[in-house]
Amino acid sequence: MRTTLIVSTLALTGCIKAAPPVQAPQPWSVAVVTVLEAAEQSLISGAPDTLTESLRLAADERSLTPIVVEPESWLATFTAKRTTEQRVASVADTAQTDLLLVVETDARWYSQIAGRFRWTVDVDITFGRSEDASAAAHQHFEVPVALLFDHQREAEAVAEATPIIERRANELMDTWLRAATVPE
Amino acid sequence: MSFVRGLAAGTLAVALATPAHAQSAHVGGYFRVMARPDLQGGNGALGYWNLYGRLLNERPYGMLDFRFDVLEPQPGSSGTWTSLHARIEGGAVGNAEPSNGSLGNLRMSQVYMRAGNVGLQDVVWQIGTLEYFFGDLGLYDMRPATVFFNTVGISARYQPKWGELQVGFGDSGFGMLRDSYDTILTPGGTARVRLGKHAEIGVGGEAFIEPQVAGNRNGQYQTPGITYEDYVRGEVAQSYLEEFPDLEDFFPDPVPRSAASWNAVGYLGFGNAGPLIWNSTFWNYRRVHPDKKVTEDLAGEPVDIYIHDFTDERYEFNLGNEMQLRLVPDYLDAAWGTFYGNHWDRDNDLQPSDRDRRVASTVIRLQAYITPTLHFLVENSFASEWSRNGNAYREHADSIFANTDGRPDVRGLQYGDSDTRRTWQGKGGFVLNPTGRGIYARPSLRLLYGIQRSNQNNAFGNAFVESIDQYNDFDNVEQHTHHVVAAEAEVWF
Repeated sequence: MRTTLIVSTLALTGCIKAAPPVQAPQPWSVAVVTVLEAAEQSLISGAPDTLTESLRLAADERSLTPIVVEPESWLATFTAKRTTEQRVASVADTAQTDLLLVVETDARWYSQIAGRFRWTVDVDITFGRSEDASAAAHQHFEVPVALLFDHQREAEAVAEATPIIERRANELMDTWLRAATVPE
Repeated sequence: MSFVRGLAAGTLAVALATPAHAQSAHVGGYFRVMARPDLQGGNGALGYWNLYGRLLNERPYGMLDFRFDVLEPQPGSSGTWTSLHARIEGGAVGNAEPSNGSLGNLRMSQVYMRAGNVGLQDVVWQIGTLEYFFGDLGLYDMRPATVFFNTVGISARYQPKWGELQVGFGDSGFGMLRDSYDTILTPGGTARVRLGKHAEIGVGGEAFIEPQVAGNRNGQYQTPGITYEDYVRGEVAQSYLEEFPDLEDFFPDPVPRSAASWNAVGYLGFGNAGPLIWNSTFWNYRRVHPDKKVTEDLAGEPVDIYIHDFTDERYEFNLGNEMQLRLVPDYLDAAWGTFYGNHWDRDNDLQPSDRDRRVASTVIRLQAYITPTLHFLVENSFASEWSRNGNAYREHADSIFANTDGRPDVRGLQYGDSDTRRTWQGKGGFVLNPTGRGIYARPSLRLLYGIQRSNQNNAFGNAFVESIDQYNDFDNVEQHTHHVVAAEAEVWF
């Protein structure tokens, strides 16, 4: 009886399939830029590798050709240019890719809650054509994160939020690609 | 042309998206709720308290934590920012606890404002409630290294990359004394130093100073000429009248006192090495603040007995450790906790009490990942609680006949027939974690079974008759093994 229950549970779990990612009609190159900001610390840097790598894989799964743009090439510009529109335009000007995926994260301390260290991660995701960056798709949302330790700071908060950010980025890319691949 | 459609979709998405930083009110919180049918007369908790591990021993709880950004911090800017915080919490959940979700069981536990870069760069000022902890023993839901738990006041926190410094000053009178408020000045502070990515150390402390104010009915006093034994028996008034018949109008006036207590805390953390995710050790050493008074009946009138001198030598030392391990990456994690507490009361050599005991416990939890979202959990705990002043636990339903060193004693202050409670708990079941792997990943939906074995009779919250009066309507029950099953959910958000 016990064996039957376990096997049934596993079988049912195995039947749950995620929707397949929408495939790009061409192997468009996409510049992947991930930014970490810490408002209370006046800090701007590259986002944790966990986030960058998950977005790179997500683009790859959609038959795109991801090109991760390292922070060294945009840090000075992004420090001076504060708005998403300015930054996206800057990436569009310099990346020389068909598409761009810019993910800006802003991790901020919230409070100590029931033994955890709560942070909020404000996220702006922009995805679209480099040639017409002003028309790119954009999402803004907030991810609550409850970290276990105080030594875990902004980078760990963004890493913890990565599954949610990746999910929302996937939705945005799929929506955009589905519309882009509808025949006239 | 299809590309144009893509652009159109993108434009629409931009139009619908929320503008950045437009929302300045936020809410976070914590909830746990459970169904634990108990077929052995219990109230749904496996054992008495968290010393045996919080799992299956805690009751429902809810918390909402609000933040309103009056001035938002701007990334890359060192400008002033300020935010308002408020928290409502309590054990009120409909259909899951005795109050049936009554809002009367909630309280506004925290209200404070934080402001950064005001006057001093990189310093955060906080005014309001000041509670602060170094970290959490997640297996026990205990936070021994906590300061300013009862304090309202002002603090300044400096957070450089190497750690943190905090000083605070406030008043703990309402937090500690409620409607018997008297000012309790509370200076304190904490320091935390990060030693690279692999270690961290912290210390802190606070003092509680209640100055003497003669005439203040809520101040600290001692009623002179009374004995500790009369106080614990509730026979101060009776003894007085035996000694001074018909002189109830001359019952001695209380003598004013000042009071002081303190709390020192510490933390050592290390990890990020091999299978060790992190190990946290927390301790506190504290002198408990004196109690005020008890009320007895003196010739038909209530009389307050002031007890500062009987409660001013109570001390506690608590030490807890929790180690989190990634035993087989993506397949098996572990958390191992230990806890030791020594509580002693130098005024009390007579009566067993929670202020005069030693407790020790160890809990280990293993969580195996069948899939990223379906896990299997097992937990095992052993605990021992020893009463310094004799028997405190009933091993049998009729142990009232053996309350004082194994002898029946109608005037005995001991209770039951054992000075030690030993408890074993085993727990296991399936866990659904929609956000993926991790012992502490939340939200968590759990289907669990738990078993407890204790030398104490009915060692869980219950509705049994404890008296062995021959006219009891209900029979006494003797059982040392307890089972519960549970469906429960827990989330931080």
